[in-house]
Amino acid sequence: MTNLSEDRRMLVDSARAFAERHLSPDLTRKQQLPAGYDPTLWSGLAELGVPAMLVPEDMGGLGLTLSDLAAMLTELGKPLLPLPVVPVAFATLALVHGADKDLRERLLPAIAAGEALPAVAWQEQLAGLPGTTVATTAQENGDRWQLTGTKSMVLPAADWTGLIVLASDGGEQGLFWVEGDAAGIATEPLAGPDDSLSATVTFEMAEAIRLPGGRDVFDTALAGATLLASAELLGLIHGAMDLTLDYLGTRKQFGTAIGAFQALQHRAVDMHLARVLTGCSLETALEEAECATTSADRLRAASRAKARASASALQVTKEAIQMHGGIGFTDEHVIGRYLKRALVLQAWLGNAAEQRRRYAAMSRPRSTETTA
Amino acid sequence: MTYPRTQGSTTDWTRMDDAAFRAAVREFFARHYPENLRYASARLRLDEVRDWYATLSEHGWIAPSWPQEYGGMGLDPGKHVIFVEEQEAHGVARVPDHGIIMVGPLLIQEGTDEQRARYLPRILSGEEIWCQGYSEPGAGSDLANVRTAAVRDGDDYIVNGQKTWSTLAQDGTHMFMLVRTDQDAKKQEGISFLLVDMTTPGITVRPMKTLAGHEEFCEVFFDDVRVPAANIVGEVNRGWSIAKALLTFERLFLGSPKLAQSALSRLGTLAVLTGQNDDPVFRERFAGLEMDVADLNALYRHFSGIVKAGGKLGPDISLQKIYGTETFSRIADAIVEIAGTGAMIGGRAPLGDDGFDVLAAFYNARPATIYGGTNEIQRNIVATAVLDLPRR
Ligand SMILES: Cc1cc2nc3c(=O)[nH]c(=O)nc-3n(C[C@H](O)[C@H](O)[C@H](O)COP(=O)(O)OP(=O)(O)OC[C@H]3O[C@@H](n4cnc5c(N)ncnc54)[C@H](O)[C@@H]3O)c2cc1C
Repeated sequence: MTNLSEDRRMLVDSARAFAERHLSPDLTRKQQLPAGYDPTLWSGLAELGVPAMLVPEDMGGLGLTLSDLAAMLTELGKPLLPLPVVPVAFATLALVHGADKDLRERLLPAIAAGEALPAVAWQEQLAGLPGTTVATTAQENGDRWQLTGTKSMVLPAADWTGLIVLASDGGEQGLFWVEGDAAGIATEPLAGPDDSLSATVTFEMAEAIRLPGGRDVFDTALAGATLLASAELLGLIHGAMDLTLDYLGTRKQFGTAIGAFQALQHRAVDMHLARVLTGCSLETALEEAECATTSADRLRAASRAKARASASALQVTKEAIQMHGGIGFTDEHVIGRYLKRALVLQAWLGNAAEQRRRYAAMSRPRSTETTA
Repeated sequence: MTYPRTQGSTTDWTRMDDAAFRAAVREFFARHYPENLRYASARLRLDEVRDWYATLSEHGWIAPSWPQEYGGMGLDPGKHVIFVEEQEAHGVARVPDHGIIMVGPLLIQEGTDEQRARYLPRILSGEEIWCQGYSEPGAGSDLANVRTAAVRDGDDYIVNGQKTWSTLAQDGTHMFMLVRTDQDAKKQEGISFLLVDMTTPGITVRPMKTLAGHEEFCEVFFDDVRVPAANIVGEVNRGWSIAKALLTFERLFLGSPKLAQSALSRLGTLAVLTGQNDDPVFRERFAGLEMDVADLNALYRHFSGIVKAGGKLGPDISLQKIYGTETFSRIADAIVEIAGTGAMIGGRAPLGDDGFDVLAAFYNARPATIYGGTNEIQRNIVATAVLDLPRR
């Protein structure tokens, strides 16, 4: 992180300042507002330019890169971020790459201003590799389409301007835009362990328009969101580690700070190694994804980063609880918020095991000819 | 003195052979244990298990290991292990059992006749429920550092200080606790074992919520609490050795295969619900965990065999606590992993007919490596007391 460009450093500093002033792990408690987040806090983040980052400059955005947003997310994730930054970025990427001019002109400036809230509805089953099979159907009806099916884990959970839906037209998978107030949409919110909300959304002949972009655009957007979720996890890992190192230095037993016990020192080093690896993995995966020419290569890079970030986050937060002893198992102490948020973020868009599967699927088969 | 045994008093369990005894226990649980309380995922509160406590009590089954003359079943250690095995196989929840497991055996061994007559019958009947007051804010792993002071005043002690993490103390009528009775002696030598009525003026109980959202443990504050000197168990200033002996016994229980075993069956259920049961990658993972649990059972048989033969458990019992809780934790991790985004749902995720709580085992696995002495402390014990490695 020593060779940060001046611009990147300014972004990171502004995110850090926002995090210090406005965020704290306790904010993630009982945030069961309709959409699962606090709109005032969201406006604050919009003033910082966060939702504008991936929007092109000619659409009222900042035209910055995934790496820029990832750097900010790592800062914002340290005190835990109860806001749908990554879900909105996911939708933004899909619209930037896959929407026609009309829709882009209507939505992107509003997204940049923090006023439009799009969500991507893609996943159907809870477990396995989300998004590989799609049962939601799209039927053509004049110049419109009608969607029928059920999507799970839609984030944010309500108040959408509209939904980008992955559906099958019978032959191939495509992306569809459904207005938030369209008829034939039913939602059921589900509360997460961290008090965040996701929604199960059922479409019953809901009216939609088809976006020019298809599965390929979706995969690129998914790769971007997966990298950004990894960046948020990296921030979470930093936050949990900092709290734990602090505790190891101050909690005394047997007349000494518990951090003096070598059994804990060695495991603290393993946690640190996990965090450093996660940072390096993410940095190179972002570079790979930004240079890649196919969505498969982007997904493959993203899977590597997310597999590492998810596994590290669980390792670090579980160790953090163990090292806090009894107080770590209370609801009161903030370290538990890190564990619960880690559970959610490691799972969303696919956990470590699911990423390994995707990575294998996206890798070119190794040649057997060389042995011949 | 009389001990209440309304039914079952005619059966002498000790004369039954092990197989017949096992069958009798199995039949008893099948007939009497409430179906809706089987395999509970969290510790049950007193009001949920009070009826079950009463059933056990009426049949004379509440205290399996106590001698018959004190109202127990008088089971030898071997039969006691069978009893526990059947209890776990049927998914029978723990009643608040500190009185039965800890206080009863302690008073039978170390108590006075008056203490036995006063406390044992009420433990058997469920009239009085005990909680454990060892840990303090400054005395967790370093338990010998207890500061809660008991100062002699005539026929009483005056107790001041604070206990913490006391499991279900809000349901307790009595606490057995470690107090400092000699401020000047070496750490371990100024501690006494004291029995306290929780309704005594000056005691405040503050329940705390756990990560999992249950009010399962408490802080307990003592402000000039007057306790009769007759409530000291054993000799004054000898409480540390009593507590240590009880802790050794506790570790066999805490390391029992039951947590891992039931988590493994939950993992199997979830794999069927998510369609991963036929996946060869999962099958191999499951087989690995299944073998771990089988070997955990083997370890348990080794240690309970010592108890069965009437032997004394040594410091290597810590191995049981370590492997039992860590196997459980690995299985809980596997549940979270195969649940995928099911881990984003607090409470029951929409999987299967009744839903499936993906995080219950994962949450329960966190304190398992902390309570009863953290696994770090268990490893320190094995390193020094078993392997004879030099101390720092
Ligand atoms: C659910 C639950 C129920 C409980 N119920 C009861 C109860 O009913 N009654 C009761 O009295 N207590 C109870 N406890 C308390 C429990 O026994 C203590 O939490 C435990 O002994 C650890 O103490 P601590 O929490 O102060 O952690 P600390 O001792 O502060 O430990 C913090 C960390 O430092 C590590 N550490 C400390 N010393 C060393 C060392 N020498 N070497 C290496 N690592 C070290 C620990 O392993 C841990 O990881 C309960 C705890 C829990 C979580």
